[in-house]
Amino acid sequence: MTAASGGHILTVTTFEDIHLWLALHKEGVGDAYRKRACIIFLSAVDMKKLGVNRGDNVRLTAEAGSIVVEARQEQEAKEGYASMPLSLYSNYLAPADEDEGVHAGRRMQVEVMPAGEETTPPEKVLPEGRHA
Amino acid sequence: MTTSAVSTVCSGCSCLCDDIEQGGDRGRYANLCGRGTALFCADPLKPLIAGTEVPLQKAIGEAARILGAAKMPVIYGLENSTTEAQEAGIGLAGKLGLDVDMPSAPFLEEITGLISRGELPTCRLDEIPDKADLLVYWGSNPVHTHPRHLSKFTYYSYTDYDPAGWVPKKVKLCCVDARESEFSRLCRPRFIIKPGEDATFIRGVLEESEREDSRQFLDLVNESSFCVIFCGGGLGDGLGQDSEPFVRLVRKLVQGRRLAVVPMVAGFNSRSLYQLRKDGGAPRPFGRRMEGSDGLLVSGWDPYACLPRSLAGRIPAGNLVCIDRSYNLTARMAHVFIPVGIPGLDCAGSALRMDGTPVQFQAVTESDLLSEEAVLRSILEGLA
Repeated sequence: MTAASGGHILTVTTFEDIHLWLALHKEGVGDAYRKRACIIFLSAVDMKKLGVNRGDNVRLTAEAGSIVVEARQEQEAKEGYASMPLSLYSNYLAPADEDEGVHAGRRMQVEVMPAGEETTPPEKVLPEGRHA
Repeated sequence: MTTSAVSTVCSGCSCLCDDIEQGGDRGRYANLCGRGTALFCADPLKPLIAGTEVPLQKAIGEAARILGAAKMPVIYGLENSTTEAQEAGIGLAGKLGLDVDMPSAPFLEEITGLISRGELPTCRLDEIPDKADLLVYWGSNPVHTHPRHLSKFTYYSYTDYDPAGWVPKKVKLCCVDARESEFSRLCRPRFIIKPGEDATFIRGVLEESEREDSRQFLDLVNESSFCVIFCGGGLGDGLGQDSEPFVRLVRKLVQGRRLAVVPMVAGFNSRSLYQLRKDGGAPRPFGRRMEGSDGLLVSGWDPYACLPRSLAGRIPAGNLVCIDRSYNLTARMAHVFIPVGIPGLDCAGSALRMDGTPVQFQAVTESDLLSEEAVLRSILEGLA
């Protein structure tokens, strides 16, 4: 994967977030779910390199797709590594590795760029064909 | 309807907390965590076909028709199912000439198998408070995966606290993880390693190398007399699902002290399924299982919440049957959704806690919902 101008390639891991699970069970994929899921945690060094502050939006691009999420800082994150909650958003970026298991700690290569756009609405990352 | 307080067991995660008190009507409980509350206090669900409410028997009949007509059916899940439902699911799979496919990655199943065969040391959760002097959470964040683990079974269940009343005096809480979290900030010390660096970290301990964090970890364990390592799915991911480095580490560290390994299994009854399918071979990758599949029954799991979207697209949604206690993402996608009773609330059954302790569920409320076992057996009868 090659970074476009102004972008950085980071290794993104995923983690479980009980609040996401609760939001999903309480109201489905709504605002509460989006607030907890549509984020990425970056190291201070990477945030500086990207020229973004906490709360700014960034575009994440992987081979599987591209979305816009909110950037947060993780104090002890190592440079070059970032993390996202396991959610429909991280699933949207994850590669279709046939040997991949169904578990939380997936690692993927993602290009991160500053974005002047709104975060991606949940409708875009939902599987197609669902019922209400 | 029950009118006086009764104790029950929560089936929200593999802690299987047995001190839940139901006081009167559905919706009033003591000691439930957030996960248990979401499960126990949800609105009752109805069977659906293509998103439209139908009688239960019609949904069961449609599920049997889909599985019976499929040339390559798959039965998937069963880690959030009672042992009785798992046996029924395995029986249904056997009738169709299949094995059950389970969601777990191989690492925790292998570790659990070694523990069950006595090849890795372990302990019961109730042996830990006031006895273990070092608790290591590795690749797991119990705050999110098993919310009452710390308070009911480990760190906060100790009785002897510092004068301020905040920190247990005779135990150290430690973690090895790939990211900072609210849980890691409680730990002294904490080892934040790069994602996928677990094998290097372990090698540093085994070889007693100059790697600073590995050396600190070894010193920490060497100072303990009873160390418990709670290994989570994150450790398996970090090791690429290869359990061998971790097994070698445990066999080194157990010299000179009591050391126990407890797997932080994902489903509330994963341990039972591991045992029931111990001859079933390694879990098969979901993507490969979906190739050519024309009928999928998912029971007690939510693959749409976990799978890469591109893999989820391979699920034959038009021939998807979902049996679950909650209206999750897979239920919303399924052609047939059959809601089932919640063990410990609507129906009875049994399960194995994460440490292998057998637990019994009782029904504590009147419910129109069938148990998962009964639904699976009805589908089996419908196949004949």
